[in-house]
Amino acid sequence: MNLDYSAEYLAYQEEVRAFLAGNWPPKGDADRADQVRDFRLKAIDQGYLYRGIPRRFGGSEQQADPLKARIITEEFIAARAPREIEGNGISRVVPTLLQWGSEWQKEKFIPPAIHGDHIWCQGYSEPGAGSDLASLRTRAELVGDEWVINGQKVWTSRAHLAQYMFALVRTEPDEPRHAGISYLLLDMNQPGIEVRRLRQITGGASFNEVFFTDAKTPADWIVGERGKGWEVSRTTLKFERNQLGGPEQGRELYRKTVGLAKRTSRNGVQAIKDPEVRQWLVALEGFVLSSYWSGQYQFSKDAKGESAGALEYMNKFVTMHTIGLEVARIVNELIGDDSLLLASSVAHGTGQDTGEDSAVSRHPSKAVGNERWVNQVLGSLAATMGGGTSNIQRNIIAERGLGLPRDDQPGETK
Amino acid sequence: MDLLPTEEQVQIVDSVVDVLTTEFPRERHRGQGNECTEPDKAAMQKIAELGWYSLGLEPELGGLGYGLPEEALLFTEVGRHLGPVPALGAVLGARVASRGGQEALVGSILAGDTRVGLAVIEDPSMDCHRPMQGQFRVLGARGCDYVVFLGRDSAALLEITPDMALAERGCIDATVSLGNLDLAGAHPTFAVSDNDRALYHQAVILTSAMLVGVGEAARDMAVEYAKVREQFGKPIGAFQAVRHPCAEAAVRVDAARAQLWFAAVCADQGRSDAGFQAAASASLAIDAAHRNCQTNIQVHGAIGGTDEHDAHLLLKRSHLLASLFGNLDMHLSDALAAPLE
Repeated sequence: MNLDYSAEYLAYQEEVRAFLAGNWPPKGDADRADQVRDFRLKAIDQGYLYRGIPRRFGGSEQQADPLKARIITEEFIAARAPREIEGNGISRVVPTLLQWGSEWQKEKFIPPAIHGDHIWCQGYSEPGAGSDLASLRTRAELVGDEWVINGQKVWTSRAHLAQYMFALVRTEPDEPRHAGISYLLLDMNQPGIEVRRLRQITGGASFNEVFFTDAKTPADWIVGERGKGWEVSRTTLKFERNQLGGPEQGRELYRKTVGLAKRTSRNGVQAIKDPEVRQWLVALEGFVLSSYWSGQYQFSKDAKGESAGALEYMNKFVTMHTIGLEVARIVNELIGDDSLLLASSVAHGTGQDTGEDSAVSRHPSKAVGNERWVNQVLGSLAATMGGGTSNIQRNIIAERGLGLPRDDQPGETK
Repeated sequence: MDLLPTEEQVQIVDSVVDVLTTEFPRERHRGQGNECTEPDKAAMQKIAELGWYSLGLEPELGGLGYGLPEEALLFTEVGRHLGPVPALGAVLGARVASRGGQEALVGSILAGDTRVGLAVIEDPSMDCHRPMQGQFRVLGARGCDYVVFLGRDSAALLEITPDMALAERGCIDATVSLGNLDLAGAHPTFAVSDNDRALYHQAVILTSAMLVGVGEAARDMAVEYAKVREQFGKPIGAFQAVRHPCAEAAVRVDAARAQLWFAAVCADQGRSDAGFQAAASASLAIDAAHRNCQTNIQVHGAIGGTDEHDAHLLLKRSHLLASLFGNLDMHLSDALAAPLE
């Protein structure tokens, strides 16, 4: 056990810092999106981003080195520099294509995705298929050289912005549940697709319903074989799996909560001086720190090529459920009757529409005054649902992490 | 000793439910985003004519002569149906006005001609006789003529004049209009002492009543959904991860409802433990409403976090009511400090 970097890695750290000092924040008044894009291309060129993706698909093709990956993450976060695009579209479709896609699919789709030129959305959940995703019913039928798709998806983040969707659809209606599903790519800009925005309880609207009425996609836009979509969709990024993002953001949220306690008062004194507030904050800090050190532990296991076991499945639960809900509770106490105000950014209809699923990893919106924290309170409730409910997270910890028997799932073929 | 509603009380509830479901159905708030859906003056006057404001007031003051238990039953339904919060401003405003001997004002409030906004009281120890200083949030601010302030030991009505800065702001619960009232030493129009805290207890109990209604509505919504929503080939209510939270929601709100009725009777009879019972009622009701609303959203999954469904409206209403007259911590402190019978 040792928390220090060796000389070799300290030198690498210096190199990353020098790169960041010279390139971020960008100079000049060019369009922000262009600046971010240029920065990412330079960082890829230096081998700092998309290290597991081959050069020919737009990545930097580096040898796996978890310590370097960690230094990069730490330094990029510290410099507030753009990191890899993580919107669920990109972080899911790119590893999937790398593992299962054909050469032309990789060449066509990966470079514009990781450079930020194309936005993807994920077509998984349906009105009747939430936690029980394998019961999905959106159908695709091969007619000539095209798939014809009919049905509906829901909770589709960024569908209103996306050029492409990767979707799970039923192509083999006679096969049992999982075996009837295929993984298709499709172009969102076509008459057979209708996107309807859904408004969240914060007033923001980052997700949608998507209706398919004879929507079409070429026969070879399937990833993997027919009926193998379930397996294909389980692909996750194994390369330099990074456990720092969530815990680091948890620490940032904690710092902001402490800042709020310094700016607000409780029982006639500065809130941070109130014994009860101090107890809450210390307990919260305990969760945040243990989540951070757990991340470091998982990282160390990963660096040795070992599994951290059940811990790997706990990160989301701890970040969203334990920390997210507790921050919301404390904040609600601290801001007093400001919590009754609608955050003004929402009142004016812009919302805090970052398009990301997680509320806890997102900075409070830029509304003036304490009411901006109201979205933290409301968002924390939604965050325990997005990307798998807390109950599903508990199941994953119990089954994959602890080896408990699977919950009763009729029709399950495994 | 009988803690069951009488036949007459049941009839009152039925008539209130009838009005709420026909004139103010919960669905009217749905899908309105952040547009304020508070009923206008004409709609509120209908409520006034039905006697909601005069229900608990003595007949010699123009009231119907019922008491706090009947009012608590009424406001439970207001909470359950996400009915108009300004009704509480009118009831409390009329009561304060009657204490202050303002007969004409009482009559005007009972008729719905004069509208009373509710000041959110962050610090119940405020002395309402003193000039008012600072920023207050007012519920039912749109078009209100007076604002009622209720501390533990005193209460006041403040007439809103054109020179006062009452600026409407979006409220997190868009079913209620909220105003920022910036006061620089304004003298209350009149203030009354509340040495037995009867006014304060009434305010706390009726707020608790609305919270109990919200908590019961959330329980019912969650349970109904758990019965019909199917995943993995059966209703989700068959899974312990869903049914147990539903059962806990039922236990929580049933305790809160029982305590509410008991507190209402205690306060109505002027028992010495009325303060304890009111504070206990508030703390149980805040907890039950808030947690049941969370359970309801969790049971509904993603749909519960959207504007398409009423689950978020209940959550926001519970959030609003939880800090109307002090917060949970203060009610617990009050309970600790209060004498027992």
